[in-house]
Amino acid sequence: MVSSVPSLFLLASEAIAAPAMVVGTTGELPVVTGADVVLAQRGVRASLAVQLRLEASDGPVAIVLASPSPVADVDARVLPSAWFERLDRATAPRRVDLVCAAPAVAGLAAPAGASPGAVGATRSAVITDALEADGFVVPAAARAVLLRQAVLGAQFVVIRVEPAAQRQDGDGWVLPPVQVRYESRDALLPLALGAANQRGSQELILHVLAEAPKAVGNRPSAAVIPLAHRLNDEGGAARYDAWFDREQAAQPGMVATEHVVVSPRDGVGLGSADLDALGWAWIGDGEAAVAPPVHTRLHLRLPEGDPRAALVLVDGAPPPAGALGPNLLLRGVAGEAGERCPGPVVEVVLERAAGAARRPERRWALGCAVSSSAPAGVLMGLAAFGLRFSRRAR
Amino acid sequence: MICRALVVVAGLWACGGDEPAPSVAPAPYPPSELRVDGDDVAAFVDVQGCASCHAEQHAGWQDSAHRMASFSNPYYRVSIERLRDAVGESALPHCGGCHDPALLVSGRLAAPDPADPLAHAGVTCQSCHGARADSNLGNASLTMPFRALPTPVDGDAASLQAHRVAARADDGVCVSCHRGFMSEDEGLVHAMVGQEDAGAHADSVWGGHGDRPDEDLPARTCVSCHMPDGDHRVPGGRLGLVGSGSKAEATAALWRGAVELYVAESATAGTWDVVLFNAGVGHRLPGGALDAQGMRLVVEALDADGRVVARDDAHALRAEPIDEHGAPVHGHDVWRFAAVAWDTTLAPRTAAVVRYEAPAVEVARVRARLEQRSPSEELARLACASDQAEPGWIAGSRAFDGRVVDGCAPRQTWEVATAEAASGEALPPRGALWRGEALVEASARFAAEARASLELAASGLSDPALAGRAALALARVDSAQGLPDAALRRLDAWPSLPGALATRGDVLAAWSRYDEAGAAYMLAEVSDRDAVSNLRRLAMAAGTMSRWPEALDAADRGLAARPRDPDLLRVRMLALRALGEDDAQATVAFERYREWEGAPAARARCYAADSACAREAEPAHTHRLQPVAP
Repeated sequence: MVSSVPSLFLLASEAIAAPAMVVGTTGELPVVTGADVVLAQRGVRASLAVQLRLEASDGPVAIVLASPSPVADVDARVLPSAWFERLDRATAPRRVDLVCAAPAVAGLAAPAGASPGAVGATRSAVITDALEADGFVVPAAARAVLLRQAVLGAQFVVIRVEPAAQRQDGDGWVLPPVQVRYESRDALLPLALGAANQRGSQELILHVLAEAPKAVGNRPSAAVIPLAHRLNDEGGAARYDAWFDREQAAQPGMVATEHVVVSPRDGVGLGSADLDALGWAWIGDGEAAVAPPVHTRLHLRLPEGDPRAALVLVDGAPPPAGALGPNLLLRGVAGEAGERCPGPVVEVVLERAAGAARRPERRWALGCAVSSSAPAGVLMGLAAFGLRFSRRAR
Repeated sequence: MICRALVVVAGLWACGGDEPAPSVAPAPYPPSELRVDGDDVAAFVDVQGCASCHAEQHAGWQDSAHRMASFSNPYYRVSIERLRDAVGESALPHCGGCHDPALLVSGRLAAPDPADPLAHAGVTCQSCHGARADSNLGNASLTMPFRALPTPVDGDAASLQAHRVAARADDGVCVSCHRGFMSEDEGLVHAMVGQEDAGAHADSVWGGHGDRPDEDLPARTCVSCHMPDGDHRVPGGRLGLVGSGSKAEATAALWRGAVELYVAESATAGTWDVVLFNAGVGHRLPGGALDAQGMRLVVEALDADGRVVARDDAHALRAEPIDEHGAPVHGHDVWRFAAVAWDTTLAPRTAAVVRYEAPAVEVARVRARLEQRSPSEELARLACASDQAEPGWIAGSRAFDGRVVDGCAPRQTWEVATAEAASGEALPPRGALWRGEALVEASARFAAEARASLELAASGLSDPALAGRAALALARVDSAQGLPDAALRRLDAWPSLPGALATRGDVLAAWSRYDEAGAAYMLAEVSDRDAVSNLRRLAMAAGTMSRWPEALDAADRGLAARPRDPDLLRVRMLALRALGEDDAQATVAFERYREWEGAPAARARCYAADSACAREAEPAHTHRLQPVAP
């Protein structure tokens, strides 16, 4: 006597679970300048953790998360404030000695001390009422965005953040990371809610924990990146930033893959405490004995006016013929000889080293091998797997 | 009180089309929606009186599941007795309204006597003939005549006509009972949809709708499929109630060609795909009580000598209800239902892919067999135990009319479909179409594989409708792979294809182009009016554009056909609020019928506790073929 009622608005529901909207107590919405996001996907369950950066802070704010599936109070939580900062430092673009096994990212254990100070998580099907009852002001534009998500079936989680829990960071402010878990067949990062707080472009650093390396499957963009080893010296970070700015200008919405750990193991990659904080066990209702995930870090910049369609994440694989590549792997591949990645890695892009005319080429990695030195080792390793070569489509 | 409020609310819009709103008086046997006209129980169960003129129909009825709907049926009996013991007598009308109207109205449902003929009457002639559907709420939302119908007099044409009019029955009556709904009234933590064959049929090409192009298929009704030429055996289900040999033959004829099955190697080495397509069943496959079914796939890998070297039979086509703690509920203990962990049944004219990983042995061929052995093992075990504990019921059924269902008899296994393929053998175009469609609808991560299958299909399909269907599926692949403009260009080449406008709207909505999506959905709805799927899309699209009067109209029209649809109820509630109208009742209805907020957590517990639960919840999941000892 049981049957399920399928939703026929499946594709549109991809836009439901947005990273976040931020609402304040004045008539103006806070401006969100950036977000660090961790999306964990295991089977048909997912969790989304978000740390938001604000341009300015004036009083309490409410972070509104949305989910495509029902959520209970136990499905939302607040994470330690400094957690994302350390994750970012540990995985920022730099030379990586191994593709298949990254160096240990030490120091990511949750800091001891007081809880972040965020007070209260509420859930309401009629979200604007709940916000206004708590003293927040929802301008018309934000109200329209929330209502649209409600029409599409979003379930909302609201987390109130008092000023004491908001951390100043340079000229801006950082909110404590918040996390919600929900059901989702696909690993996807919906972006619709964040449009309300956008002024100018927004930086998005997305960490993905899943059972395979992930590439963005529905953002056709490609860019050439320099060899990772050039980033390791002084000024490397600035060169990367300059390169990223240049590529973004050429292809707005371009996604760069900045870090992939394909074979995490003891002492390599994120530890169990980190994974627990990231939600890897939490999304499985605390199931302890699960294999550690593959960790992919993606970086994109959303220009103002971006359609903000959800990022759909697919297993790292060559895109179909005729489409631009999804994103690029920024790393060198030197490491232990003979080690193999368990599966296809997102495409690896190298500048051709020989000749005066440096032309970008795109290579599809069918697997990967590492050898003891780069870049020659890179070319040897890649050739060993019979890579296909194609010119980058413009 | 909630049940009564539901009736009042339902009366406002769930009128089954153009008929006037029914009386808003609450149904007298809550939580059933049953109403009766009269109080003559004897007349209601007088099947012999009908048999005096309608001998053939009576004989057919004796062979039917309708005859065996009541306490003669050990599977039903054990279920209602367990419900009574767990929840109390107040919940029994939920079952009795359809299965035992005579016992219910006579007040003997709680503790029937095996010798009581009312306990074996089941769904009598007048459960359908002379009954009037009050609404499409289900749970017996009809008025049954508990009085004698006008009897015709030989040679009196007027009396014959009066009899015909009074004894009329139509499909609305079927819907009233073959649509079920459960709530706190039956002990559940939250409301849940139960049996929904009617909705699945109405949404499909068989019901005159369907949101994708299809072969030239005639619309069918419940009666035209299950009662061809007035066949009162009502062939169709195989719940261990098959009846006589001729009934078995009629049932087998109905099942012939109902399911298409294909086998082929998948893109991943060492893995095989089994593709199932619900070709001919006008509702979900299998239908009825989805948790009580026993349909399964048996897959065998053979070596070059034809010897079976590996096997798996773990994939079942059914739904898995779980309780609030995530524990599977078997044995049809409905009061424990809190959520559905997974549902592998197939909607009409849809496909599914099940993957099989072969062990490290040489596999030359793989064969698949879809077989049915209903009811489920647990329900069969409980029924046998009940028959052994209460043997009086078999005697009582035999005394009623000689018909008996032995709950301890071995369940018969029926072969539904078979397929076999050799290594390297490609799918035929039809199989490739179903595989591609199933994969793209399962998850975006299968988009690349889906594309390969669909392109293969498109190059080989001769039926223009199916070629168009492949094109629409490819448009979805395009969208999933970040190529919305390519998807729209592809759809431009098939402007008048059924489903093209809805697919266009879906692509646009996926890319947040809601205004354009709304326009496409509006055109889709105009081209296929009253299709609930189109009304649902239209309601949500209009809501995203803040076109609230249109959203409300679409929601109301959809709710007329599907009164508990949570998407439509949600849009209705939000539209009324936006328009400044009273939304109190709409909010109550939405909160009642939305999915329970604890359902995802309960499912997560099921997945964590049982890897099979986690596996079955994944679309296009993989089973491991187990080696068979030589």
